[in-house]
Amino acid sequence: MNWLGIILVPLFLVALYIILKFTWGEEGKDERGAQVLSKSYMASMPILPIGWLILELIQDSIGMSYDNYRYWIWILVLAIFIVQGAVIAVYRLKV
Amino acid sequence: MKLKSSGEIKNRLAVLRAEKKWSQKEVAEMLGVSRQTIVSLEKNKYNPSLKLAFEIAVLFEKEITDVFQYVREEEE
Repeated sequence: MNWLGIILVPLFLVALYIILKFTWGEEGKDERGAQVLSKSYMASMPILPIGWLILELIQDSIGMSYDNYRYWIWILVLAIFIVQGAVIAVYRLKV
Repeated sequence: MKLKSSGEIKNRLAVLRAEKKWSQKEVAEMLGVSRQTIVSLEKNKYNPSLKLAFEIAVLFEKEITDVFQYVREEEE
């Protein structure tokens, strides 16, 4: 399953750069920036509770090793940042 | 009478800015927003808050209705 991490880590780094550049930069500080950031939080934040719930349901039904559980939590965390970065990158061009 | 909510808010920011011969960057600095916000406003992609709309009107020494217009869908 490490291939997923190999794909996601570079995407995560790019997304992190987009998020930090937007948030700390001039663009993220005014009301339009706040609107773009709010949109990105709305898209990315539900990933963790929903993903976590799915993992718990899998754990309860078919079981999962601790290593696998840890791995998927790590993927969820990466996914949150990737989705947030993607939404910022797309939405800042639309609004 | 029921108003349709599918109308659009349009503005004359680009025209007024050209009249004053101000750059987008200058207007952004005067309003305390990013240049991208001015770009989006001029393209009518972004509707400002009421506060920013009034600040724009004050900056250009106009009434708010001289800068912003609500265009209902059936009027287009």
